[in-house]
Amino acid sequence: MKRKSLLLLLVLCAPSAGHAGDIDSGKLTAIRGIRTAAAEAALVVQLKQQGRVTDTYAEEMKDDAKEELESLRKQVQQKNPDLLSITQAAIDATGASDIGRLRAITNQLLAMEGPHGRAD
Amino acid sequence: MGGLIEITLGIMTAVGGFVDVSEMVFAAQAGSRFIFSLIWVFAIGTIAMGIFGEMSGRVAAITKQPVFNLMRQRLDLGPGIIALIGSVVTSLITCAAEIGGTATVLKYLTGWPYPLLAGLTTLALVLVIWALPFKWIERLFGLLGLLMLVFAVSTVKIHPDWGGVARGFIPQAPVTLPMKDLVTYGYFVVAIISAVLFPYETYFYSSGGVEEEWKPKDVTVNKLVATVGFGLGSLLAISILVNAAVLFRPVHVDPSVIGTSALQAAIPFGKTGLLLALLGMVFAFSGAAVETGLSSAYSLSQFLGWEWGRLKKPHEAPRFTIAWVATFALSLVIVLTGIQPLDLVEWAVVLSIVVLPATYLPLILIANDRKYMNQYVNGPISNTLGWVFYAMICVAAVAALPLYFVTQGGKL
Repeated sequence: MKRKSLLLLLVLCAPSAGHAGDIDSGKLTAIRGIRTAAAEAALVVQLKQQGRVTDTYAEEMKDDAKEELESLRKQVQQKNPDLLSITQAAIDATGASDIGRLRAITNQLLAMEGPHGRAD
Repeated sequence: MGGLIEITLGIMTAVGGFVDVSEMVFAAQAGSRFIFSLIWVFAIGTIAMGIFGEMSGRVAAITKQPVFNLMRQRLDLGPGIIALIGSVVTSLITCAAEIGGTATVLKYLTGWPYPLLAGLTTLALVLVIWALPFKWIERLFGLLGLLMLVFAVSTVKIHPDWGGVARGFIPQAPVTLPMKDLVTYGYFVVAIISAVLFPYETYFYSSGGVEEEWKPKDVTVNKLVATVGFGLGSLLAISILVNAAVLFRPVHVDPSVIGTSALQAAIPFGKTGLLLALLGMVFAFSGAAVETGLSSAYSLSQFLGWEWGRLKKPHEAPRFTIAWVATFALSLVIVLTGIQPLDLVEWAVVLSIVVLPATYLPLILIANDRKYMNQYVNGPISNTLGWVFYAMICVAAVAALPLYFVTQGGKL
């Protein structure tokens, strides 16, 4: 019974500990948060340009994405300062409705994420 | 004919009221992150919900007692009080999440400030509950929630890989994933089970049965509503998952705000689709807020032996009335603290699964007890499935908190 509990504990702790050369959990969470906020903003701006969403919806969604990115910026400032510049770039690109820049940031962050979360 | 209309309305209400803010969030994130591989969890959760929902309705029709009365009779005082506190706290947090979700969607429609919309939403819900009879409260939100069907129509329009969707119904664990993602997958399994089986749904459904004075002759209608209605409602949640896999995953969006899901209707149908989706979300979330607000008051009143029921005038059941009004007031306070609705959803889902075993154990025991149920006691299929699903809920309850902390609420 004790051995089983220990095994379960090890399995549950494994993601936090990470593997050699692997990205740590806190940083991975931050990268994913920034990536999805940037990708959402890009999608909203694209659909607004195509006339598929209302102006009010697009503006509010952009505000939400910026708010999320601002909160992530505070987070990375303390724990992962190497992500600070890309977070700021995502905030600026969202404000400027710059789809190209937002997509480039998304792809850059995806490359940093590596193979995680893609259940193909 | 009247019976047929009653059944149709009951089923439609169950469909429209099935998806709430937590199901919408987890379905969209599940599809975006794990494609179709979590569909089976919605399917199994829905069968469990159908079994327990039918059981609670049948028990209400035969014994004239809702779930929390039975809990008081079947559990010792200690476990009963723990279940009561857990249920009231989770209902409160869920109610706040639904009000926050409704206000957020209204913000996308109007552009008005979020705190103002949260206040107006709460006021409107309190007035609706105060003014309308129980059946019409249920139908108003359930039927208008059917606007959410635009998500199912979108699924047909975007032509997903139907073979892949069908394979998603087969229980599976994507063992090829890195360990971190496998654990996150485990968290999503637990969270979806919890979101589908939220305890407030059973409290509300069985209390509604008592309020509407169901009789043994209503057992068949109850069975149809619980199985067909919840089943079709679940297909709506699955369509949100499928849409997310097809529309969001290729552009690397794991929905992080509530409004993103509405894009599933905007992409194929433009502004009309967007507006239908947003309005459907408003009614679905606010309907869930009504259910959770009342559930909290039902649980408290039934456990403590107070007069309760929406059929009674407020002065005839004063403590019940104060309880549901206070639930809405406290929910609004929680929303106005600035906690994001998505964070509230995650807490509600994790706390709910911990409370679920205490909710369903007395229900199965009573539904199996001939002394209470006579010939309406559980049949062998219902009984076996009931215990199997109960075991599943217990395992999920044990795993919920460790998975939540390890995966940082599924964000890992």
